[in-house]
Amino acid sequence: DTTLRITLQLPLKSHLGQNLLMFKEEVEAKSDMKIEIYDSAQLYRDNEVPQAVGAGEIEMGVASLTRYVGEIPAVDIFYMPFVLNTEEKVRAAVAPDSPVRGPIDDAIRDTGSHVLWWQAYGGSVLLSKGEPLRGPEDMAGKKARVFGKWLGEWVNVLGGAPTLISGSEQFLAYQRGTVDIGMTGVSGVVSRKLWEVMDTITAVNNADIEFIVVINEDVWEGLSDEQRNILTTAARNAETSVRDYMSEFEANAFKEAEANGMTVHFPTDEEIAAWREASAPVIEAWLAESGELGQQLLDAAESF
Amino acid sequence: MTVLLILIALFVLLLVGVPVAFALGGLGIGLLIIGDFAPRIASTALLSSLDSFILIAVPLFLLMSNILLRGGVGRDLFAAVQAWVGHWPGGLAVATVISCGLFSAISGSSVATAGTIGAVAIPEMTKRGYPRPFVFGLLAAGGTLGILIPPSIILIVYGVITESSILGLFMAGIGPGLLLMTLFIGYSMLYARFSSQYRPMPKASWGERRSTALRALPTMALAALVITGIYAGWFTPTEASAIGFLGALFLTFVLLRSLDLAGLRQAVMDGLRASAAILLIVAGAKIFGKAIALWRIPQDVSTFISSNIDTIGLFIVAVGIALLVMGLFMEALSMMLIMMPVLAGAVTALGIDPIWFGIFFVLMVECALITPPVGLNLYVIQAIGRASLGEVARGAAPFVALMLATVFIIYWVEDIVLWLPRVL
Amino acid sequence: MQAFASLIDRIADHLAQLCGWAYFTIGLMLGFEVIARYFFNAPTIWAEELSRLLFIFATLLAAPALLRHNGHIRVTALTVLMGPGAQRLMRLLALGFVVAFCCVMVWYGKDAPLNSFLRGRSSGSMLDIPAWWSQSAVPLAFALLGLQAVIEFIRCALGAPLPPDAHAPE
Ligand code: NA
Ligand code: NA
Repeated sequence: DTTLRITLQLPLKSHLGQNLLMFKEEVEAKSDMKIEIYDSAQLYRDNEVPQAVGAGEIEMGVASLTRYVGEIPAVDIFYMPFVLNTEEKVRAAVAPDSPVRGPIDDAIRDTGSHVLWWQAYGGSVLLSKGEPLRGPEDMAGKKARVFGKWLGEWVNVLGGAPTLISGSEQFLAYQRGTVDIGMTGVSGVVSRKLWEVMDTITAVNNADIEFIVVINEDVWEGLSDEQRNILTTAARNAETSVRDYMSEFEANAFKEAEANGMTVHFPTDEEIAAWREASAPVIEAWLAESGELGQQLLDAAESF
Repeated sequence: MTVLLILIALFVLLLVGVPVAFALGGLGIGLLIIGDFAPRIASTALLSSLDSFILIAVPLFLLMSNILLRGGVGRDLFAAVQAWVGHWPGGLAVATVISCGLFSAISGSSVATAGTIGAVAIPEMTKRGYPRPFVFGLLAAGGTLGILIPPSIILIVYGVITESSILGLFMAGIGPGLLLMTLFIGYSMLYARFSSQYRPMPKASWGERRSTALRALPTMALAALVITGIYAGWFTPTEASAIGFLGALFLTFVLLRSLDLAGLRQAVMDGLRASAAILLIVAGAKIFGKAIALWRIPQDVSTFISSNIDTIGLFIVAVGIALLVMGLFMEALSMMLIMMPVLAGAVTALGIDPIWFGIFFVLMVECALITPPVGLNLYVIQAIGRASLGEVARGAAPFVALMLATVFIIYWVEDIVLWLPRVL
Repeated sequence: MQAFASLIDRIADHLAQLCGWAYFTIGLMLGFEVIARYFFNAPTIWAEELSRLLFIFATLLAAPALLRHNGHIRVTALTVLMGPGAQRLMRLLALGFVVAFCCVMVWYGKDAPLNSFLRGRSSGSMLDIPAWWSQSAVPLAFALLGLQAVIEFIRCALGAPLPPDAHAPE
């Protein structure tokens, strides 16, 4: 009998946890494989997952895609400002054999992990008090929460001061004014009730947040063809489910935020053009670091 | 059965005298190997536990206390409080409790608090005819306020392992801390009232009050800055510890000029010893915690508890008794690091507020600090007062009773704990 | 042998001094960070990450000196009741356990930094420092601690006086 342990940083009741449960049920119903979920970072924090799964400390894990940036700078194509800023573009980019996802999955395989499926987490929004951010000039001189290297670079390029704040510290940081501008996935606004501390959302979609579920490559190779088929099918079902759920959830989340007194600003085409132009230096810097693969992914993404 | 075997193995290692950090870590890695899990998990776990911004507050708050201790701040503080309340019935004892409370607001450690105030209060009180056991007990117990009134090293560690808000825990400690001080003061006044040897102190002059207060003022301002800063969100608890450290340095090195370079070097090394000893246990406990999670022990224990114990009251009584007994023999922090990974699941399952549980746990830890045979505060006071362990422990007994009474009070009136974090 | 042992002792003590001042430096860096943020609206990207790196090393590398001076927190409830012979035996057992623990930690702890070094993995944060910097603290510290424990074990077996217990505050 085979036991596959999965480590997850978020609690089981989060939508990523529920998605794992769905996968577990299908796999256990169709085979004698057992799936054990270790949620809420009891075993690993997000940033430790790539190495832990790659080295076979644990069979499976969920990590945000950007956690691979230390080894594969190109994965942050999803954090490049305004490159994948609509749902159609994102769906095209994360399709299993797409020219964006395919090379990323291959590169991750080199780290010792096989990618089973991608879990959608939604686009990034900016939070502020009083006024929405109508353009890059509104970022200048402000302290902004960021959650990764290239998002930090982006804020830097726009003249803001990037401040690394963990998900759980966000609420206090906004309430106390440690930062002026918030940045998070829109689901974070709902789950953390950020409307109690911020009143304006700018749905700027500067980045797309993705999580991936990986399994150790040796464990994967050690399974029978039948087992691999069952896992792949269950993974595909889970993937479709979570992405459809997320589209619906995002639309509702904006409504819920408005119902709780927030103003939601969707940038106009001119505003997006201004944002995009001011952000260009970030993409150049990233291309210099992510090399050929980065260029290849960017070309593919821009063709969508 | 497995649980029992693991417990026995742990207690054997501890009783042989293996340092707690390595007993936990070694047993953890043994469990990983026996359970056929990857032993590399141990080194990842160890690194992960120390790669924590929140824990950085531990050495900085300890450094801050040690700098203030070496800088003689305890003496100034005690002199000022004594000038104001010394003439009350049991005035010196009251001054001691208040000084402990004030020093607790800048120190995160109970030992530092007992040591700092003890060094000045013990000679004063015995000179004035207070019976030795009472004096020793009062200081051993007063010192434990250091981990209840924020900042608190134990609450920081609790917050890290249970992922609860440090700010919330700090605010939650204030109410029970004041309650405990009130009980200590009430007991001291009654004690003096019915004691035959007690001689009251003369009232200090206004000039003396003013001059002593002036010298203690900067220290109080520093305490206020640290707590207000955390509360108002000017800085995180970790940054507050850095500000407190800088403030203590400025105060003793520049303003009061009561600390020289040699004293600073001493303070730095004392801070290092205490911090590293604590943090290595945190790291060892993390290895142990992950190993038992993979053995699914916390999961089993919490299932066992939720199917056998169905009321919160019963659970608290059971945990309280277990902690009281363990606390006789175990050092406080180790107790928390061993018990919390096992209890956390049950706490959630029963719907107990983790912040309230943290304060409850700290009160039990305070008891452990002053019950023999193993109680760090007893040892500190024993060393300062040149007393026998029996003498100190006898004096501390009534204070254990007051602490247990506090546990009952916060159980019935949870708002004493939860009101401040809620209105925040 | 004697000379080697005292060399290791000196290394442990000097390292501990460095560790103490490393904590001190962390205090200065984080204090600077607060001031930079509030008075100059310019939070740094290095203060937090470098603090965590220093913190890991300072904490782990203090372990050998703590062992040498009996500064680790231990349960002494049983051993204090024993005669000198039994106490020595207990100390030998405890030190033997520490040596074994250190060997396992070095053996399994070397993989992560080695792997990160070979693959050129970085922390992926804003400062983006190599991942092996912090990971190498584990094998390094446990190698030194193990060496110190072996030396203390031999000293104890040869009948050196038992060190007094230094109580470390919580
Ligand atoms: Na305190
Ligand atoms: Na005790």
